[in-house]
Amino acid sequence: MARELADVLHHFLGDSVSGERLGPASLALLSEPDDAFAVAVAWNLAHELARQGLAVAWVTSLADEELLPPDATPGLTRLLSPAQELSGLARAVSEASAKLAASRAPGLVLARVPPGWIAPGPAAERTLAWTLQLVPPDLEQRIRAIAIARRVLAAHPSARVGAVLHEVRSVREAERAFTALARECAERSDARLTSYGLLLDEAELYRSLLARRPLALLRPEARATRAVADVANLLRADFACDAD
Amino acid sequence: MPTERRPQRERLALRGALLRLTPPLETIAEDVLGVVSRIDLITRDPDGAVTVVLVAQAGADLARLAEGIAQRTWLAPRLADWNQLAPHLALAAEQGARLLLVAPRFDDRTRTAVEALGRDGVRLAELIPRGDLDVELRVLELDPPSEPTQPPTASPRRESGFRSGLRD
Repeated sequence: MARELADVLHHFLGDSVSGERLGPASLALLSEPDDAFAVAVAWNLAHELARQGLAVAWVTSLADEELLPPDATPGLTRLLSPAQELSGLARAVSEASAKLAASRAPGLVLARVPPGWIAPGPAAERTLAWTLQLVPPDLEQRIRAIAIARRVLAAHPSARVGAVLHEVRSVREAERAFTALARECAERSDARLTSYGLLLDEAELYRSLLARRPLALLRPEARATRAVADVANLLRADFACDAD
Repeated sequence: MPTERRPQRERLALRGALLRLTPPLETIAEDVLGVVSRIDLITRDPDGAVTVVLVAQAGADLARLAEGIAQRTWLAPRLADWNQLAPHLALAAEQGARLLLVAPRFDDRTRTAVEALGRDGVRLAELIPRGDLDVELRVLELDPPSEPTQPPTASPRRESGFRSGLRD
């Protein structure tokens, strides 16, 4: 039982005991290649996770890089991959993992995976163990999200399938939508969805990308910023549980 | 930094982070021998309300919560004596002592237990690093305890698995 800060701070300050995790985890944000909103979310989430103490590497596509600030931003490593299918992306994720493994901080590799790329095989094993979808609350989008979740589980049966609600105006609306989504998912498949909160005031995410500053720096008090931080916090909590 | 000075620097970082909370918590005692074990920090807010601050290692937060409740219970009846010894502190002894549990992350069971206890008495704060030996505290917003008239079942939020630290 901790009696001193020293018992705790080493988890954050880069001198944690090595060997807690075999290698960096990877998180696949399932989104279409031209989804600018997903790019804005990924960029802000990556920065927030880095702000919370993770070493984050983002395997980007050419489409991502066209939207992202050309200059490096503190706390985030970006590795451009020209991959056009899952096996190429899996190689890039492995490369990013190897780079992060040299870091002393706990590491997470982030990649955007187009749902059309999902297929069984070794690449799915490497890239789809932990997935995240951005799900609007309407029925059509929920059904689409469930279909993608089923494809993920067909390719990687033990995958953790996460969902973040967006295009909602309140926590209550997000909760209702997730409740419906989880129920519909249970009715249509054996998939169990993991909740990763919600996003609010999404225009702020676009603005941060245009301003080339993560929300936490651009608008630290905004609801959108708190929502991104909460999503990152939930991701980090599961990351930590997996490492234990 | 010499190894022996590191705990002091880390404790100082936490004291600074406590002062940046709203309302700020000013440290009035540290490393105090409480019931059986030691209390990391004891603070007061501008109204004199006293808070016991305990730091928990990752994975030890649930046990540390129980220890914190014991420590604040131990401290509460002693506050009147402290006021006699140090009247300038003007401690609100009649309010008893609150608990702030600080940890890198919290078990769902800890959150649920604190929700059941009510937020006035016990709060949770995540410890977030800010560069070398600087930290920030993020006080968690938890659901209030259920109304007594409600059946003691989990809320729809728990049943559905929806998770969020945000509140409307």
